[in-house]
Amino acid sequence: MDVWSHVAAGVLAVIQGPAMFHVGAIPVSVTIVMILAGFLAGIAVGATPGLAGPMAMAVSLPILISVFGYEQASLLPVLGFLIGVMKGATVGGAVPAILFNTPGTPDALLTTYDGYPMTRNGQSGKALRIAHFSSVSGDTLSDILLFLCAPFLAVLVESFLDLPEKTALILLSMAFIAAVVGKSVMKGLLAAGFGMLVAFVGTGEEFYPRLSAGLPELAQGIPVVSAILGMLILGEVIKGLEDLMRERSATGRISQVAETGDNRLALREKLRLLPFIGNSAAIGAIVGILPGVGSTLAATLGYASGRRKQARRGGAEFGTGAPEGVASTEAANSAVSGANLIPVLSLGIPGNTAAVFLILAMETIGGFNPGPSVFRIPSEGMNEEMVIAFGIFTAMVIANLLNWTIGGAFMRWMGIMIRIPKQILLPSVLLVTMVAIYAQETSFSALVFALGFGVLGYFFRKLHISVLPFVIAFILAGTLERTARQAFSATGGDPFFLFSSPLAAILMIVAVALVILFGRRRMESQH
Amino acid sequence: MKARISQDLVLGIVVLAIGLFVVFVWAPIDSDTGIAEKVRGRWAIGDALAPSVAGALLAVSGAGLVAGAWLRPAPPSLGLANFGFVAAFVALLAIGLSIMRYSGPGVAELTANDYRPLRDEIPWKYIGFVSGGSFLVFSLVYLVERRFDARRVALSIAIALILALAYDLPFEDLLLPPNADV
Repeated sequence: MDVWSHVAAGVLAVIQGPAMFHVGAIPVSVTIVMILAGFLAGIAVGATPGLAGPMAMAVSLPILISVFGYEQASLLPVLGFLIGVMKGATVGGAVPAILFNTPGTPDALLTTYDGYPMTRNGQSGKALRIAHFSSVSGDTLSDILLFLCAPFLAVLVESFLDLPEKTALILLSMAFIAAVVGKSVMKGLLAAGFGMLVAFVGTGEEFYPRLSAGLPELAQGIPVVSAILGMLILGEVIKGLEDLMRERSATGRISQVAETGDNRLALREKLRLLPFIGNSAAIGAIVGILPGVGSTLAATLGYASGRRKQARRGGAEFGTGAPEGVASTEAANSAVSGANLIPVLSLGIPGNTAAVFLILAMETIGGFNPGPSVFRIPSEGMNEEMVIAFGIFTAMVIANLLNWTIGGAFMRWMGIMIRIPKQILLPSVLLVTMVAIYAQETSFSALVFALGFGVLGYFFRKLHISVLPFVIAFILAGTLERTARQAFSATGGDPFFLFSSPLAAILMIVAVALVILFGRRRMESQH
Repeated sequence: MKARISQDLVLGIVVLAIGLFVVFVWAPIDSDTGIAEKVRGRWAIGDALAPSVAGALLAVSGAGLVAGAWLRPAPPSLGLANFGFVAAFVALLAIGLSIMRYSGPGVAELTANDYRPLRDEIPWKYIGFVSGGSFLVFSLVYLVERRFDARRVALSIAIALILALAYDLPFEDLLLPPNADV
């Protein structure tokens, strides 16, 4: 079977999969319904200050798995929902930034610079339309890059990387994330070290579960969902509540300036914005390929580049309500999401928090191991993993189509989400998270573990330690150990197997160099 | 000299100590095999290697933090008030989880019933989650607002009840806490 047979099978797996209901005589596939549900939920979550896409993905994943089960057929509906959330939250994030000067995420801060002045000028509708148009354009370009690059990168990896090189590549990815995320390289390494240590508790190849101290609660290993949801959500909830307690100003009473004049976005205006969108989308996509480098950097670079372009052209100055400012920021941060999946699908390495949940879904359900083998064309028959990969691409295309068609209108309705007081929202998120953890683990001890990791996540945040290296190291630790064990055996017990080939040695040297280079730069910048 | 004892210095020392403890005590003692072992004449990686690497990473980062903090002490971002808030949060969560865990079986005992056969029946299956959940929501809202408001109590009960129904009614196999434990 050739590539196109796999593409066709992937598309059909989504469109003609098990039907959830019928519209007349036409069956509507459960995957399409899940993409739509995830997409709408994602916009609502993105539009709610204090919530974010990865949070919704984290909470919904255990519930989706409980509902759909662990069969391979569950993969596309579950991943479809998560992809929908990811894309919906990307566009939804601009809503509170533009309407209420309240950035829900760090990258949305830049959207407030021009989006909120537009709102004050009675042009909120136009600002939201620009944000939507730019965001969807950037996202679509990023997805095209993903579809083109991931298979080729995977084939390249498969051809050039053996076990020692794969081990070195995982170490390089972890070093890169630890080095570039957060304010201190040492704190990034600290987070990665803790993530690995926690992942190794209760595991190993021997009969005795290592690091379990003879405790039955540790012998089964730390529940993945408790560790990740605890660090990512409960830690954020604790810090959010504390911040609110200190502010005591979240009344939920928010005023909005009425729209005046023509708030539509004409084709002429869209064409005028296209150079800014194209420029920022390219920046976002390139930034997105690198693991750990998130949308905040993309938004910052896109905004700075757009401002230079605007200065040359002599248009409205950025920061005063320039439509080009909104377009530059939104196109850049949205272009990160698709490109961020390139290392996921081609190498099995998550580059951001959203990708962590896609990998977790794949690992938990089984039947799909992201990495080079996904895009291997078999001499006969079908590669089921390749079919699922093209199913995932189809889900992304459908989510984009939804975004182009209904996303804008739904996004504009979601301004209402800001009216939920944060002090009510955060405890509710806590309760939802607890149900999600319990749905998967069905054990009260999993809730206690989650609480412990929540407290750890809180202290990480207070001490300016990024939780992303922890989460990614926790996810990759098992793969790293397994690959290292195989590489060690394959090289005949060579203790220097990580330097046994030039490529592996180069990857290791780059990993060390990155840590030193970023460490020195951060130290200099603190002077 | 006193100014040099910064928060990152303390963090670095603690992390360095944890890292060294993992490498030299916990990993070797609490694993069945060492860093490497000979299996049927061939060397293989043992169970203690991976945690030792993680411990070494912690030790290196701890040492780096100590060195960095010694050269450039940073202002503290964590104080006693933060520990107080976390303690209050943990205490409220512990109370809420206890209510969630024991209220259903408690009510069953008071009414001379056995909870286990009833845990999938309405209203029994909701007692623990709704009572513990509404306590959690209300107590955390109170922690932030520091004022008693009957509307907030009603809202907290409504949130817990709506969540219970939202999860329980459409999903047959999904168990609300604590019904899988009791």
